[in-house]
Amino acid sequence: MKKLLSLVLAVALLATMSMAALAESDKELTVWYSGGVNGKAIRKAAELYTTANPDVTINIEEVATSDRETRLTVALSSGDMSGMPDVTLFQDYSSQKFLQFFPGNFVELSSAFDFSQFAADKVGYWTYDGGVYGLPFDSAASATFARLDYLEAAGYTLDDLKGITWDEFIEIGLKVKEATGKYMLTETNYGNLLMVLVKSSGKWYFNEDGTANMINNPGVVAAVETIKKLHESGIVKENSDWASYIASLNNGDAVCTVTGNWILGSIVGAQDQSGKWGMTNIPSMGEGFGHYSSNGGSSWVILESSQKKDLAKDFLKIFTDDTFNTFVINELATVPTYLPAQNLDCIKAPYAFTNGQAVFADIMDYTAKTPVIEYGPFNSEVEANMLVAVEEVFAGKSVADALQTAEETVNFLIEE
Amino acid sequence: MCTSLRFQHIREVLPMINVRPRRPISLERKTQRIGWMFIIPALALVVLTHFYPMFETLLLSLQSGKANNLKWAGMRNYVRLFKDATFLAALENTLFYLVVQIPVMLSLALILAVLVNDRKLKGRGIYRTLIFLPAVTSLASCSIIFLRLFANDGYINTLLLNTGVISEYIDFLANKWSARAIIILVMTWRWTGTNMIYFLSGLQNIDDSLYEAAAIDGATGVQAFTRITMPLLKPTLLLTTITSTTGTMKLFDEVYNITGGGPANGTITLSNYLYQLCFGGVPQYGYASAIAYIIFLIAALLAFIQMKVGDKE
Amino acid sequence: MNFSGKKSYFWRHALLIVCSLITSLPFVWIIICSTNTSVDVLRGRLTLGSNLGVNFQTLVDTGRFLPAFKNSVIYSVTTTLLAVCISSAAGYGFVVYRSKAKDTVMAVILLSMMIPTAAILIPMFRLFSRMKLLNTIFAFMLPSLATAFLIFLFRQASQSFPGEIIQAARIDGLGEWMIFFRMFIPTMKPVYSTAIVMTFMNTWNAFLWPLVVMTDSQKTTMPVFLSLLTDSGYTPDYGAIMLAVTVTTLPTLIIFFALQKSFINGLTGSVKG
Repeated sequence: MKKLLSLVLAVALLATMSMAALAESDKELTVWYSGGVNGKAIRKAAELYTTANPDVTINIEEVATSDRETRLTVALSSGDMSGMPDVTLFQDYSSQKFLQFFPGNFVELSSAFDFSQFAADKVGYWTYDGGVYGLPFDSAASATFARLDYLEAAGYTLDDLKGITWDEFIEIGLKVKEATGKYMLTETNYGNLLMVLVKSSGKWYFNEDGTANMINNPGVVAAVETIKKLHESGIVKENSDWASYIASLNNGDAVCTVTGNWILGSIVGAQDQSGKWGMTNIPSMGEGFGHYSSNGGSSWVILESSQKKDLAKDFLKIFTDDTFNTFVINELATVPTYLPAQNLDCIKAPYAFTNGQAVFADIMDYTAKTPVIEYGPFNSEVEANMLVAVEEVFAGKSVADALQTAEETVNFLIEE
Repeated sequence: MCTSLRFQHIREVLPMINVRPRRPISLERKTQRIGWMFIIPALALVVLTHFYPMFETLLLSLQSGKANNLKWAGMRNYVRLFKDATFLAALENTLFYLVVQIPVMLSLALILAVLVNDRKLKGRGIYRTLIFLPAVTSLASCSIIFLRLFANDGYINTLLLNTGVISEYIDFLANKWSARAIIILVMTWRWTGTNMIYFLSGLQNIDDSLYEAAAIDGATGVQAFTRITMPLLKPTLLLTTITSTTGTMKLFDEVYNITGGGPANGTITLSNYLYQLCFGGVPQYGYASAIAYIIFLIAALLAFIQMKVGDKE
Repeated sequence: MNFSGKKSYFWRHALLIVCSLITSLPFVWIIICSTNTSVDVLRGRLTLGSNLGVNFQTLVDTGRFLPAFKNSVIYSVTTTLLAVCISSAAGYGFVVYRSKAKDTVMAVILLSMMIPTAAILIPMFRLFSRMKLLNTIFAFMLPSLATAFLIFLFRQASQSFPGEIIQAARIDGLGEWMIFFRMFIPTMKPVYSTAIVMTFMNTWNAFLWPLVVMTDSQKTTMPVFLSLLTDSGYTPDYGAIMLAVTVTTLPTLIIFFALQKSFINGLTGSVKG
């Protein structure tokens, strides 16, 4: 018993000692991020910045995307921001939820940055009440990435996929599957594709008054019908989780993927496929719908609770630096949304992995053509219930009925 | 071994002390006071870290609104719940898991415990260790394991395809019933071993001589089980039933990590929906708190019934 | 039990072997995966690979693995030891000094385990924020020190502790606390073992609460680190993840093995003359 007691005391003592908080200097910034590409980018940014300002220390800490939001939600709801960082990466989809429902907690940035120099689509996510609260980083413009060798084996070229409709895409897909045995498209649960398709219609899920509009929204109806056709066509490799999805790309199980251009970072993971990939715009859902969209993507945010807002703003200016953006393009295969970057030499250079196609310039072009829409704060509610609608349609429910239910459920969540 | 010898000694000595002093009332009261001293540290912690937040949550459940903009709403959240299709689906699923999974798991755990409790059984130490193994897995590994098993390109589909049983993969997670079956399988896989250990230790407390006497009286195995084992296992049964019931009412992890509540809310639980309302979309703490109290009420009611049946002095 | 003949042993072994395989094969798989590359894991390779060293290096290179492991060990060991002391005293108190009032209190305490953590997260966070305990071990520990489950476990177990021992000890002049320390604790080793394994397991795997209160990256615990590894924001390294999973499983497993002899001997103790 004595042994046990002394052990408990010793451990408690140790714990108290480790409690003594580390005093943080006023030249020290804490930054939260997640994801491999973002990590390499922010590390490079910190390296460049601290070389120029040797008295500054930047602590870069990785926190998983959903964990970051959980922590922030709890801290913001409780009014104790003491454990939060100075700067954090934020999902664009969640921007309006936090800006509108926790106002006054994010630093307005248009005094420090000229936002006309950034892609309008990305700035739109972070604009609220006349101010801009997030610094856009990577482009999330959607694209079709395709295996050139598989297309060729079925007698097609990349140009045959350019500017087509989804119906034509399915037609080609059936022939490619016949010729090569490969699935034309690889997907997870269609969650990403759904967002891409709806956004390509130029209109989001909401009415002017903020209520959900699905059943009388041509873009949403067309998106669900397109996904139903894809599902029934048999040309889609449907993966149970993200790991299988990435594996299907790297293992060469599928011809195409249609998603945000950030997927390139994962595609280039299989270096043995260098030269076999091409990129073009996305198929349209038909008359009146476009070939451009975006999904995913993140921006950098400074928290109002930070004691070092000016230092943080100064640090984020590195995202407009040519050396930094050249690194991002060349080393990370990621396209910045800072528009002057399109004048950099590396953006026009032929890219070996995509068979010499200058994809970065193309992505810049797609980014500029992406429709700018109003997102509103209820994207998670919409996403969850639209997935339910899609799964119900797969199980046999009519598109109209499934969308009716989704609209009612989302409005039910919004109304109170 | 050593301790039980010591008690044997005490038991031998006991009859010699034939004077059992009747305790005066004041002494009784003093002992009672010391009794409270044993309980108070734990009680204080439970009040501080559980009941106080629970009380705040109760107050929250009477307010409605988004994020921190909350207004008093009386019982409106509770009324609203029963018009909410997602809530009703979650309630149905949770009760389904409760009714199907707990009896299966506890019976299996009890059977396994009885089997490995047999001293003549060779290798019983190995069996009980292996069966307990899943309990020590972290949740992350648990979801990776079962996703790799049941994914479209997972081991089960690969096996069935390679042996020619099926020609096209089966999307187990896209069908409501197979997805539910997977959740029940995961829960059973993960928690049977733990309950087996509880039963096993309960069983070890039953004196072998009772069974020997029963055998002499000509009792069958089944009779011995129902007349001796079950009554003497009562405290353990009560413990396992209450903890399993509460655990299932609060079920979150398995579903969140494996099916995410899908397909079409076919596996979503009350806790999943509650979490979605707090941290998925725009926070609705008041409404979520009302769900928490529905979970609380059902779990408490079931525990009350179980205590009434199983906790007689 | 002595009711069945030799013949039935075959079926018993058959059933137990099937159950053991179902419960243990996934572990063999995890261990195999932790020696393979991420691509091999995704391709479903089922043989040992040679990537163990690389996977380990990947984990160490994150700079978070070793600190997270150390934190988890310190927090969980401290919490477990204190929790077992505090909760066992209460469980003992409820039985040895049983009264109507105490039965009621026990029933009320049981209610505290019937609310999901997510629901009380914000009020709890506010409480610990007001007590200035965020990012301290106390924030991690306090909610786990006295849990309804643990108190209930000790209460149910204490019912088999013979009353005559206490009577005899009292006559011998032993104080009430001394009876608890000298007679109860040594006798109830099996319950303590059960309680230690279960509490360690729960605190070691705790996720949501540590995630929100231990925001300092130096204070991250293993489950939060694992969540980081499996974040789907980029291409997860499954070889490294499986190694992390293997390592995460080890401490509880070691404690189980170390205590297994007395652990198995009983939840309700082996006090039978």
